[in-house]
Amino acid sequence: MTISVTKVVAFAVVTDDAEVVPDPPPAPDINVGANAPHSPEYVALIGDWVTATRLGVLIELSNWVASNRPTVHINQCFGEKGWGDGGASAEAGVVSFEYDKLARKIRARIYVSADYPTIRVGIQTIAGVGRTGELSAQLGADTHTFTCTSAQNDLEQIFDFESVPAGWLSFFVNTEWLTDGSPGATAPQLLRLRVQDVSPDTYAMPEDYIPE
Amino acid sequence: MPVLWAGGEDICFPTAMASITVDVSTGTLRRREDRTRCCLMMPTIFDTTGPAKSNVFSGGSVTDCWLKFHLSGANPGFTGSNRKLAGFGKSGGNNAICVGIDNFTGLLRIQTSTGATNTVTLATAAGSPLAASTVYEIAFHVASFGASGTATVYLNGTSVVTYTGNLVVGGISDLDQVFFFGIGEAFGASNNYFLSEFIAADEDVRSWSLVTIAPNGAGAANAWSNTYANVDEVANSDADVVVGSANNDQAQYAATNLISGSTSIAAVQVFARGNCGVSGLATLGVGVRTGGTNYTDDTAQTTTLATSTALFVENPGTADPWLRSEVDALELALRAAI
Repeated sequence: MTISVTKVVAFAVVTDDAEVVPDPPPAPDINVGANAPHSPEYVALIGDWVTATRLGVLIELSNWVASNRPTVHINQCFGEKGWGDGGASAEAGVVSFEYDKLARKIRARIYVSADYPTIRVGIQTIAGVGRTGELSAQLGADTHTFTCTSAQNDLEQIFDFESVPAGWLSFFVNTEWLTDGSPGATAPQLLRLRVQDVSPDTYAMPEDYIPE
Repeated sequence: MPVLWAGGEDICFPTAMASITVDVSTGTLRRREDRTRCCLMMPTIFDTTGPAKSNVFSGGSVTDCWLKFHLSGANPGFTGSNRKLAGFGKSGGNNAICVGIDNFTGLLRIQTSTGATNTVTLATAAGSPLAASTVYEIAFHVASFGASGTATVYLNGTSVVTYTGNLVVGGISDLDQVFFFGIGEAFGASNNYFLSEFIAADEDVRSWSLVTIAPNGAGAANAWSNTYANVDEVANSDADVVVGSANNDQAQYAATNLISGSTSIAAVQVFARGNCGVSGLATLGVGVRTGGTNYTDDTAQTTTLATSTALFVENPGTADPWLRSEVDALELALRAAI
């Protein structure tokens, strides 16, 4: 004799939170210029470069790509003014940053989706002859460091933060000036920053990048 | 075992198969159409059919439990409705503690019932009645079921009525089934209401949803007669079957994927309605194929058609919580055995 079955169906019990990005926590209490903005429209999608263009808008987005999947969000980006050209002190409120003198510190909030727990951070630095510095990047509890060498220019350091917990995390980039160089030489500084999820798509850095 | 039982189609309530109306209409705002193939109602009234009952919870009876379901009605305020909707019951009888709708006001309430004419309202929500043609998320929490317990109804995640006191009905001491109740009027009449997406658990279910995984193609193997097309109907047909004829005959069917946005997966539950002949094979295995291996739970069959089910609160191949990719890739599995 036989076994007969008339109908088969299954059900999955799921949560539906993947596409809901919660509100970010309050802005970190950091030393920013009085006019530094932190408006919600300054949200970077994956792969976007984040650059500084002028004081008062210390961090601004370039290359907005709306079609990018919003699995990584940067919000509430703040920068601390750089050291200015040639090591000269910059006066808050008057110094304009060139595209290649982003800042020496970045603080941001990054939203990490549970589906994409590996976050790749690309950071370009610049340093004049004889100037060296140490750069550190921290996402959540994980920190990566590297040495910005003399006369380094446009070299992108790539850090992978793996098994990052989901949710809003604090992100810090910091440079420490290690050695002086020739008078007038550019101090080690952050040039550009970008953040991207790695899995499951291939991460491709543009090889033909030309600074603005 | 957080999830106790989860279902949403006719064979998930095997005690009342003949009485359940399966509504597959679209654009009627009776259900969430991206997650479901149908919603359910039972036109006949309680005292002629008894409630529709789920399979008994495989993990045993409970006294602390949550039920979530979705509800939509045809008229503003469900005017005229004076019905029990759904709740928890105990196998072997019709005793239940449940969510109902207050007569004429359309307000949710907490009820107990031993039969159609023995419904007791414990508490009724204040506020505005439910609106027509709106899919509501109803959650029902029973804590410490017994002489001194608490029952709470949540509407779209917010508590609307709570009762603390004696929850005991008909002398039962615990709960092991999901019940839903008849409406007492024909399908298409003015005061119909529709239920869908039932989830029972021993923890808060308000953030959870149910997504249907239906057969939609051939699987890895099929030693049974006929194909997935004979078991993929929304409203069950007893005349349209697949048949396993030899011991350990296996069949797998590809199935639909989760919808966009589904992330954490708390459980997968598989249902199959079947029976056996008067001799020979008498066991039906129901389950999933994942990672290249079949995992089925065996249920003894009789000559009477009945629903067999298997609940997987984790991936049986990895012993870890299900991943979305694993659920999307799984196949529904059957096994015939002596």
